[in-house]
Amino acid sequence: MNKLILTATVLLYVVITGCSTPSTVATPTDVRYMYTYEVTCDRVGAEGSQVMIISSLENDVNTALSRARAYAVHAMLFKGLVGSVCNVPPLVNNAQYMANEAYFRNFFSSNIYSSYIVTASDEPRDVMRSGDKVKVFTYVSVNRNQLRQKLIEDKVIEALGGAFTR
Amino acid sequence: MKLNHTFLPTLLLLALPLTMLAQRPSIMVVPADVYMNQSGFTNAVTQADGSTRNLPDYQRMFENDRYFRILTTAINSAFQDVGYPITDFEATLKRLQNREVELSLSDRPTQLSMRDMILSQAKADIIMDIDFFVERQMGEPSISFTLNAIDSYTSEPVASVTQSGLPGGGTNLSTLVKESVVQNMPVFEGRLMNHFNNIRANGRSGIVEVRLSEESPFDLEEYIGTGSDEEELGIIIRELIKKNAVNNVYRVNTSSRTLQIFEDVKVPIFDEEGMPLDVETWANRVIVRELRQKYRLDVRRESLGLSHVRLIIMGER
Repeated sequence: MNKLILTATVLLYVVITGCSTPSTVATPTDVRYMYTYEVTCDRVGAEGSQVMIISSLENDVNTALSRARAYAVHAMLFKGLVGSVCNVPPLVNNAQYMANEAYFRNFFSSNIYSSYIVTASDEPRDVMRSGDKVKVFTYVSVNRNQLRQKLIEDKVIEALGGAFTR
Repeated sequence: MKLNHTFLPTLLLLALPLTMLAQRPSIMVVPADVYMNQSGFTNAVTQADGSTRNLPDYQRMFENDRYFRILTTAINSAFQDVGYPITDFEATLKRLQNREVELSLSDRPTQLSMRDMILSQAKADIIMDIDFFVERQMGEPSISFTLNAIDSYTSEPVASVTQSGLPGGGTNLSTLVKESVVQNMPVFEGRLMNHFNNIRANGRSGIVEVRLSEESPFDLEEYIGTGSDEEELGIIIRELIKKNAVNNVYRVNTSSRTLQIFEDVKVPIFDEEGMPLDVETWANRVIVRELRQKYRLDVRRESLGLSHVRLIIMGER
């Protein structure tokens, strides 16, 4: 009986460790992959603000509206916007993220991101029920120029003429 | 309180910026020749051989074309926003005209050679060539444009974006133009950034031109130096360029007894001590100094822009 328990434990251990995520794949603590949402570019403001539609699956509408703000800034930083209206590359590349991982964790946990929201809708554009969750679509506008400037000042990314500075 | 003699210099030294700024390439937005032709902003000029050629009349374009001004203002403003102010083409042209008027009215007339006139023309290291048209689609204005950034010294395309038919949707044209520029700037800026990073890693592309003065008693095939150092002058210059260019990269465009033109000479933007370097300073350090000190030659240099230098061999010192 003891032998059987031991074998089962070893097998269980092998199955668990064998199925675990390899270290090269992003972990949940990786800020780049910590949110699940979809983003669509709506239009570009003349002052450099980026208006986008964020859709996410949450427990309720208020949570979705509130989180959409973080998702919008997150999209500007790590996803970029591709579509017929916008073609905006992400502000941060992989190397820049890896060198500043703690900075970005703090950027979202301390709500620093909220300074770069220009406008965010209090009412959803659309709501769809999905089981006990809701899929909410809402407009959020982010000031890309200011966000970019903040990253340059904090030495996370380089300014356009940065290549000529030593 | 009596200040220590070493205190002030130390304080001044501490106040110096720790970052060194190399010369950034200047950028200027210029209307494409095709736009000038199609809009009729050209003047037919008869050349020396009797043929005629259409030359762009920028002054007339600025006086009559409001769209170009809106477009360039939007582009200038977008570059300002990313901390890289660019040279304003219209302002530069006006400044040159004012200078000419002021010189012609001066009580003390100065010499102005044809060469000075050509060199003082509006120029930039990167030319942003813009072609655009505005049309109406179902009563709404729509703008299409192509923006091409070209390296003035190598004629290599640096970055380009094309915006086709952005519809107005009730927006006025001025706002539409600004929005279309803002919309395309991130991609354009990304490509420009790649070009700049490439310059940092592989050096700035420069042109080194070697010419002989009319008084020079020898040509570029003359053997100079003594013993094992004896070699043809042209080959000595080529070896100096090869040895000092980043990754030994350079290209010979022309090589004759009287003229050598080296293009795509990769020049580092900082020297070994971290000080900014331009092509003229680099050429002075690695070619002129060597020819003067080791081979006792009299060599003069002329700068033709940030990345173009001309060396003139005058003869022996």
